[in-house]
Amino acid sequence: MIRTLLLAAVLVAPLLAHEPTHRLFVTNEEDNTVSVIDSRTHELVKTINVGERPRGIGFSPDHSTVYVALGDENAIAEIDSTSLELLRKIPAGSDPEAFAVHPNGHIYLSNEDSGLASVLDPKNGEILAEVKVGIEPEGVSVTPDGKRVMVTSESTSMVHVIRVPEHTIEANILVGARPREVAFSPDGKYGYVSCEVGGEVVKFEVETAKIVARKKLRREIKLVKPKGVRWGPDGRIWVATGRGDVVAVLNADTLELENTIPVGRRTWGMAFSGDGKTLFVTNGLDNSLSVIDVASAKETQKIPTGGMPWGVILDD
Amino acid sequence: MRVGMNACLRAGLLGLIALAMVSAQPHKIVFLGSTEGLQGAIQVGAEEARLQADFLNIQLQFEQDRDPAHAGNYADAHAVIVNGTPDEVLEAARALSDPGVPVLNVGTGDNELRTECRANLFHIAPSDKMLADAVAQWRKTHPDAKDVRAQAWHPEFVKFAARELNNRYRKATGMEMSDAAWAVWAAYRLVTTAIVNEPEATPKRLVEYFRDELEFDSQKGVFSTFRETGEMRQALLIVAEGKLAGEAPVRGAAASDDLDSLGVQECKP
Repeated sequence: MIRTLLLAAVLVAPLLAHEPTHRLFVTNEEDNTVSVIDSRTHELVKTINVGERPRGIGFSPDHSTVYVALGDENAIAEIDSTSLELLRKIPAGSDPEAFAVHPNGHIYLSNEDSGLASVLDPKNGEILAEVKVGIEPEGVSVTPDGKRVMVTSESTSMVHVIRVPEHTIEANILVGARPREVAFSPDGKYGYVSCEVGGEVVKFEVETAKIVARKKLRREIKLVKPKGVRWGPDGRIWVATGRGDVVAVLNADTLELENTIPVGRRTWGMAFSGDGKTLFVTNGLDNSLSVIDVASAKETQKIPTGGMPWGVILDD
Repeated sequence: MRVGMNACLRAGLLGLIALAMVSAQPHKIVFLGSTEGLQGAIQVGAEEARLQADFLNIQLQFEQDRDPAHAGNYADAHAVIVNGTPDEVLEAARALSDPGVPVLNVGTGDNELRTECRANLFHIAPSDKMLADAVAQWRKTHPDAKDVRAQAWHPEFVKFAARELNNRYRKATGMEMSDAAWAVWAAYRLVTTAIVNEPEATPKRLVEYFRDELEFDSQKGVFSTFRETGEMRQALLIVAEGKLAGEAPVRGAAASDDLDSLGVQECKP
């Protein structure tokens, strides 16, 4: 009887869908840790010693695993998002900084110091492809249909459009100085790039790789350095502005600035809650995570993190 | 499938158009003057520039000539980078003023040269005054500081991706990036930033672009533009008692983005 039950458990376990834990995972670049925070109570659940220079962070497609790019260990760390155990580290080429997980489970990552975008299969640790991109590749995003991956190269001021599964470059879009991240409209029609040093957001058409709008934010936001960019649950573009120390909210059609929300110092990473009501952003120089109420566009709280928080994701 | 075909056709056509453009107009960038100690910077700057241009099917052509007096031979260039004395730099700018080829000074910090304000003359190396202003700002906020000097660059600087540039330079040359090397690297990257944004531009149009539109990522955090004098606005690094101590504009003495608190502002009457 017991044997049968055990056998049943073994058979059923892998089939069970991962239940959302409602936990926030924050990479702390300076401390070499990941802070795990309950997104509902805002309590610290655990601090995980993850490895050297953690920056990019993301979930496996089913959210059962958290991946963390360890720049100074040339590896991607795997954390079990339920048990919070550090499972293993997968070699990921030189200096991985940021990555995106494709719905097929492959990790597309930027190798900052070697000017490459790499495709890693986390199942067997195999590097499936390497694509030569510009200098200091950074942000990686997958289009909603999974047919393209976009990689920014900071020092070459470009978005490289890579076809999946061919892994060939289809287009190179010249944008403003130091592009950091790309977000997409849910229909996959438009991409939005944050340009850190240029202080602007650039909107392009995905199919044609043509720029259709750009907005410099310097006049409105002092010391603006756009980094995180997301399509918000309200259909607006939300931008973490670095030393601008605010989150900017832009009209998705025109890129007009509609709102600014003061947060902490050097805001970069962003994660919306599953219900779209709350936004969490990292404040790198304040060692905190701001909680923003989306409807009222106000910061409601700051949650302490480790040293120099970089990225944040939410299992919701 | 049809979408794929269209994309293919379009890519092919774009490729053909790009090829036609390329053969019609290569962009020549010339380095004029002594390359002693600067070959590494020329190589890194030119390679990074070429990588950027290659992605956009824009062709660059690099040349070197050790004699600054030869500027007049390069009236067909899109830009001439000069490492020379103030007189040599000024002479090069004069020789190329008629076709209006931009001349970029990377070697001398001479203040007076900045007051010449020639339309096609640009200064990538910081002026002596710019460096002195930065030191004065530091002293104002750090009254007890000793042995203070300002630099355009520092091999230990890590912020704003300076770490990445220092690493690239070290890897390529086996040396530390000096101020002079940084200025040369910056000149190559700045010229090609303008060219890739304005691939059809004549040299004269590039001069306008430098003055009115260019936003150059100097890898020092704040982007650089040119002021009336042709001097490039840039952040500087403060070295106190032999160690990298901070950045200028110095907080407390000037706003951190007030690059006009450093340098030569006025043209000579």
